Amino acid sequence: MTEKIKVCHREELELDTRKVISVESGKEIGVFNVGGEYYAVENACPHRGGPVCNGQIQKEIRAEWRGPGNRIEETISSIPTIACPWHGWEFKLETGEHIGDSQIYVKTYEVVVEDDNVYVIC
Amino acid sequence: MTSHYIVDSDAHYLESLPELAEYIPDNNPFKQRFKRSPGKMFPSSGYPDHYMYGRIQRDEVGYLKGQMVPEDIPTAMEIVGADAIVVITQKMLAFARLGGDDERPELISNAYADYMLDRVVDPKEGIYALLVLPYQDPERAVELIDRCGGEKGFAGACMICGGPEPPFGNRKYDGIYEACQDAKLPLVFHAGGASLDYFYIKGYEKFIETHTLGFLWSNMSQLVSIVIQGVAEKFPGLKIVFQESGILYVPSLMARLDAEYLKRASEAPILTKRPSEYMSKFYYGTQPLDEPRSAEYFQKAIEELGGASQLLYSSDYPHWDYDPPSAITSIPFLTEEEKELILGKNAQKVFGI
Repeated sequence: MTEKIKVCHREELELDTRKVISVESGKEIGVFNVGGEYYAVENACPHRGGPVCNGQIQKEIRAEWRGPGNRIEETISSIPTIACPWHGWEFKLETGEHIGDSQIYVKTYEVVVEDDNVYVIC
Repeated sequence: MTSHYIVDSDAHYLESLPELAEYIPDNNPFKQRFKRSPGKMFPSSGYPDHYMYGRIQRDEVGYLKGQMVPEDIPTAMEIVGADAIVVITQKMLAFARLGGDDERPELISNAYADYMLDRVVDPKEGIYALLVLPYQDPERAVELIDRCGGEKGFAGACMICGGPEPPFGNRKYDGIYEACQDAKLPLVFHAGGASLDYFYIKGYEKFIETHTLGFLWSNMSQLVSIVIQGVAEKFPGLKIVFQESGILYVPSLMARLDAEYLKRASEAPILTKRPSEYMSKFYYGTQPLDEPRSAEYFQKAIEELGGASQLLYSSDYPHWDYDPPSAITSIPFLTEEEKELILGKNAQKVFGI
């Protein structure tokens, strides 16, 4: 049974801002507008339960290696991530996957915009 | 003595330096230096007496008299009960501390390769050696692999740990890893006794302290560098072996590296899986086998590091802390099949023996 929960009016979630809401089950969900894309994740890091939604948002660092003797080139991808401020566990906002181990993830939720309001489906 | 086929994957041979000098080109000044001052060719590997001032004896071979002869190796094999043996020369264990003299590592590595081929190795009799690489000069190391890596008497190549700068994960060594991978030469990282003095100088008082720390530090420091810098990711066909620090440090380091990695994965983007997953595909020499108080813990730890398939029995004979095969056969929870793997079959597969 899913529930559509209103987060706020679209104008209240400006570009590159976030809102953390409490839902009835007692959970907190962070809703993000990153570059015009909306994401929502549970505000509980699977590591130690830290407030992951309060963390820094950045793009995932990728490695490229051009063969023996070359430095491993680190580049910034287009994939947004959030890092839990307690210990740095870092998750892809889109899928919730930990960037180092896809078996670990933070729960994500669908975000919809209807009638200029932002909702999460949970 | 057991009925298993036994490969001793790490034993040592104390060579005669004046004999070794014969394998240095006649016009090279190091030839004279070796002959006139052989004691000055390698750094010491520790001040205190490894053999505890007479308490530990190795009279069966010439080791404690200061020199072994090739005929000592079959004797060592008989004492250990080995059907095949892989030896590293004693003096090369101090290799990591060869600092000055830019030419010396390359020169010694090449002389050793020729000396071992000419005087010591004998594949028909199950006697193999490792090609000790002058990693200080990676291009020369690759040349040595190209020159001698195909010799049947060399079961693999070897890098002596003990504080290389930069550590072995650095791209400077990529050519060595590529050459070993291409030549299908397993690469053995062997803890170096030369790391012991560091702890002694810093004030640790007894050999029991420096030996405990030094060998662990040797291998752990290089494992961390190799894993995090993605050597196994860059060279997936390279067989990696770590020798002579026991085995229980491996699951501990796996857990610590995984904990670090999950917190700092953005610092190791070359990795596609947890550090422990790479480490569980490496091979580990068993000597000096740890003596945990709990068999259950020991069993779990072996499972954690990758299982019996990743372990290679090593004696380290004639060193003071050598392990006979009974160190393996007496482990209560191992099946006969697992004992066979550890005592010989794994080494046969890894080294192509």
